Amino acid sequence: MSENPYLPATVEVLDVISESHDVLTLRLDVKKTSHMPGQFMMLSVFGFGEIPVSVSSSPTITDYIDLSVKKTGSVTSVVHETQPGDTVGLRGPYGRGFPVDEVGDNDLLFMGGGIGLAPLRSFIDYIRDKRDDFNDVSVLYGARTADDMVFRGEFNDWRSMFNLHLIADMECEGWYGRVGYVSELLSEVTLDTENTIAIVCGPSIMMKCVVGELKKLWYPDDKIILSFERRMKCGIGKCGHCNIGDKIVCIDGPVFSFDEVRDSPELWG
Amino acid sequence: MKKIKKADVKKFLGDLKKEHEVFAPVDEDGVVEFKRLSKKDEPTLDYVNSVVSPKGFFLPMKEKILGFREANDKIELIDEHEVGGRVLFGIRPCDVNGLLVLDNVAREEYMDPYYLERRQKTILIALECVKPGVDCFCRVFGSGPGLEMGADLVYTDIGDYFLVRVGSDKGAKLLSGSDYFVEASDADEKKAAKLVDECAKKMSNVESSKLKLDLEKIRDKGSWCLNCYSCTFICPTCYCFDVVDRMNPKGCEGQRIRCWDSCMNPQFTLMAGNFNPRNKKVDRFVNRIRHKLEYMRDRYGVFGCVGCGRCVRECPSHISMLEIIQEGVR
Repeated sequence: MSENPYLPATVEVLDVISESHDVLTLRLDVKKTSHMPGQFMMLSVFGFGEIPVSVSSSPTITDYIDLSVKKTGSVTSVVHETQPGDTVGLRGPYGRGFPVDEVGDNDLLFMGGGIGLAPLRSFIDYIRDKRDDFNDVSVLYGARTADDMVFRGEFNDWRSMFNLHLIADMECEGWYGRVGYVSELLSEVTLDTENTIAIVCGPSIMMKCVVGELKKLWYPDDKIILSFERRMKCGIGKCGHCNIGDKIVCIDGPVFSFDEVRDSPELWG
Repeated sequence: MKKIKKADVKKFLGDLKKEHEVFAPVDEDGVVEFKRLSKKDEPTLDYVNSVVSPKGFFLPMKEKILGFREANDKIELIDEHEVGGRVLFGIRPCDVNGLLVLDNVAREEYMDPYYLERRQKTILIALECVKPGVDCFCRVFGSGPGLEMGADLVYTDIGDYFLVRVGSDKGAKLLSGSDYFVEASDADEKKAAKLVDECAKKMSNVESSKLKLDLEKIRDKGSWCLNCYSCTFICPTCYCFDVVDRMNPKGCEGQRIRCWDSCMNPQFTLMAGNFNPRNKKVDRFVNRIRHKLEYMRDRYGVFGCVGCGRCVRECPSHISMLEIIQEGVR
């Protein structure tokens, strides 16, 4: 029998980076990564379980890969106890990522909500490292509070190359930026909707609102690219957990254009 | 084609037991299940179908897929899955077709080594149906009562004998060297074909190619569902599984286990953070039906239902898959 796709590799944790009060990034000892932005890995903490996590580092980085994890369930809580030098299990990369090679001359509009910035960061950093290959880039990012914003360390870097706009859902101490939902940031950017691809990832309700707003701007459905999250157990199309209608998110997605999934049941839950 | 005297079947299975683990349907207090034949077990050759489908021989209810242990600060992974040669005798055509459906899932993009190894190492001896069960509707999908492909040998009850058709080289090998098989006549073959044909005629039929589901009616049926998961566990084409890690009491050794899960389970789609895209029972029910009758058809070119009738028989709310199909074709 050929190789076993359920068998993880054991990988050393090089560093653990705090991104926010409940998100951390595991920097893993993976050289020569084969992932593309938008793909995910299955991360094991042996004895506790396995979870799908999107890769948050760019494939242009060849010394390591980053997986950013929000503490929100039983396995992610254990992930948050990980220390540098620990061993975790890793399978992947899996799924269809963002259409990196197909964006051509289009401008790119990234819209992220909360931890949804993680897969987008892989693409944004990819563009940063291959800046001449891409046109205008805007990044609109919102989170519940300023404390919930992740990858804050990269914002200055991004600001120097892209149009970066931030928004927090609610007022809080130390936040002097805009307050509201990420879709409101669309008023901050001038878009050539015919020639811009929107790339969206965030909580379901956020993606639903954003798609609604983009449609008001007459965005064509095939220029709205969405990255979905679903419960997954295998990551390789066998366990039956992650379907959205006739699509199997782990192998057909997790990235879909809106015209591929527009009519799917339970799209937004 | 060959035939074997009914009285010789047990002897033939006895010979097979010398080299293989042989499983066959056994009636225990009116409940028929596939069982590893021991000396005292009498295989049942006249039965409608087993309560639970034999998919568990390939996708067990619970199996270890990985072992791990910690030693000297290092984690060691143990990837062992040994499967011996097995013979599954008396499997019905619908269930053979159920395996052909599951093969599509196991082979799509990534090969599932556990399932496929068992498939490869298991010899299937099918038993065509000459008497339909009350709830059987395999005719709708052409997955019975006769069997064209998928088994190594195909038996058909023609009275005192079983007609035996060879479906593969493995099957042919079982026959060669066995004294129990004699040459069948043209009349035997015609008789078998006629019996299977008559059986089919007694069964419901609708043109499944014209199927267009009536979602409103399905939602209505879904409201009767008790959310008991019975249908998914006994179904020959349901394959959903969960994966969990278990540690031994000493805490330095553990296993990764996969076990059957059910799409009717409210937690099936529940994600960390408490977001559940398919939170309502009726939505889960509709998803189950559409998965079998639309999504799998569109993806693999075969329906995800083989008409075995188990879910109809066992549903405590008397929800009928056949009725759902009939309402979609009318």
